[in-house]
Amino acid sequence: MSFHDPDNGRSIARYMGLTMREVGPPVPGRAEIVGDAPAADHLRGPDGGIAFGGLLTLADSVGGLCSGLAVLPDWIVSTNLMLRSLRREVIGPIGVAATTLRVGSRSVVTQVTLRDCGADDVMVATGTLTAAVLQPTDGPPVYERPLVLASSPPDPATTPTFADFLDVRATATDQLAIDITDELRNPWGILHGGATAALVDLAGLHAVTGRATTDAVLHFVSPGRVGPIIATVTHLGTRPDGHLLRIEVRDIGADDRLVATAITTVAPT
Amino acid sequence: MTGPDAMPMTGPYPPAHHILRDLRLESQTGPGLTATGWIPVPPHLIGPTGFVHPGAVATLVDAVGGGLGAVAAQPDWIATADLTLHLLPTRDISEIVARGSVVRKGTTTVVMEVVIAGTDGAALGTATMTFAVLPRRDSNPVISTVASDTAITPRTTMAGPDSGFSKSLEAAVGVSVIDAARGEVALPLTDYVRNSLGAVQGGMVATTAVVAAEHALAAEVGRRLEVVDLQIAYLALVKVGPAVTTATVLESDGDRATVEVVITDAGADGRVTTRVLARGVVVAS
Repeated sequence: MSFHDPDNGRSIARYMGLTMREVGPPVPGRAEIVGDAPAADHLRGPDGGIAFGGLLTLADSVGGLCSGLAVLPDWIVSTNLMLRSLRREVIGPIGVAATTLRVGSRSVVTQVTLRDCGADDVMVATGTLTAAVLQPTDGPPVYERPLVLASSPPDPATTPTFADFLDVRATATDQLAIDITDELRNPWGILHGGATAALVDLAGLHAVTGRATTDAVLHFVSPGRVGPIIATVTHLGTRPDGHLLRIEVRDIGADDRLVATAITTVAPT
Repeated sequence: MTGPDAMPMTGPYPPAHHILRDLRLESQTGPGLTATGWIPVPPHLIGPTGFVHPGAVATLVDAVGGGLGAVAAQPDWIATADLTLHLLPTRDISEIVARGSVVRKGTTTVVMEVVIAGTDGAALGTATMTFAVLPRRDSNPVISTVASDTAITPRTTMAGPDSGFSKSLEAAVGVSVIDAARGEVALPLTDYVRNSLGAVQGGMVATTAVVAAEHALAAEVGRRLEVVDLQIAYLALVKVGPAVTTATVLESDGDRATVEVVITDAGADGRVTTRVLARGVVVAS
């Protein structure tokens, strides 16, 4: 894979039906991106709400693109995503807005906010994405600016649930595993941050009895390259708003390398 | 704790009258890029419902994590990018221990996890920190500790003979409430709350956010909520002060609520320095 084909690594965005648009003319050192995606049935959890993994994926995708455009001709890799759910019931479509808060020579901090466009733009989730600035060996992605990356709405008749799209399998009561298929790779050719985030969400819900993940702090530690990828859940404690979990994601085929760590809260049923 | 064996920490920072000294912070660097910090929990660090002030916990985490991050990044220097804190509300804690370990040490970032517990073993929560690695400048403090797989430094204490609190944490650091219902509070930049770069120390930024969040949440739901989560993005240092907050409650169901706190440096043209998401919950008495 390479950045020279802007369509590479966009399977996750297509699965989400995510269209992203740059706001305003390009300005070095800052960026603003808006996106929209349908609140489709395949993204909904058992209670009808949008799966938190879907919100994380949208935040990672839109926030990552925003961060990258702000540092061109360099590019970025996500290092940390913090997101809090504010509302479970979503009519849709989901609007996503990302804007850079701080652009430095080594890192970029981007605020990401998700809203329910079908319910007076009420806020659904908010958080921040931190990214490290890198110099891609093959150069940065080549985009026409202002950038528009469009996706068609997914076909509800043929689009699988997130768990099926990731092809998740349970390997223990506190573990889920996936393989790294080409569909799950980002333009760098590594496991997409959104796929990692969705796996974290699903693993937490697999390990404890709960309604939904309500917040997550993800640290992307190293790239997932080989697979299988295994997410293991540790229950840290219970409090009035749910279970506090620590989730570790490892690339078993790459000497068990740590890919990501996460702290999540799963709301009680 | 407060080990009789702990050696006094000397040097230009922190000054004799400083929050880290009054917290009676002790610390020790362990093998394999780990570090541990301890603080006692005197009555002045306990809130009205019996829980330790989250700002005190955040300050402990920031001190342990920052020290370890600086060791990990040598010879470069670091700037704190974010701090997250997830607490398990627990009463009757006499001492808190924070055990930090480096999860990732790269050329651009250092990531750390900090496990928080009572010294009786009670789980109190967990924290994470991310540091941006920066080229060292002459003005950066010199770290004498060397990262090692085996070395353990002596346990040192920040406390001096007169250290400790004679009033609440908030009164000690000088947080003042401007408008409780709007979550507007202010923290002046004094030597007591400075970090080694002369700006407001990261834990004190967190403490200010907690105070703002508690007031805004109480105004929203009509009763006290305990702040159990913090997601803090540090965007710039508070170099002039005071640090002034604005708070917006984003959601609430009466028993739980989320508030966004934005901190500006009022003396630096209102520059936005910090964005915080705080979660409050009702905890049964």
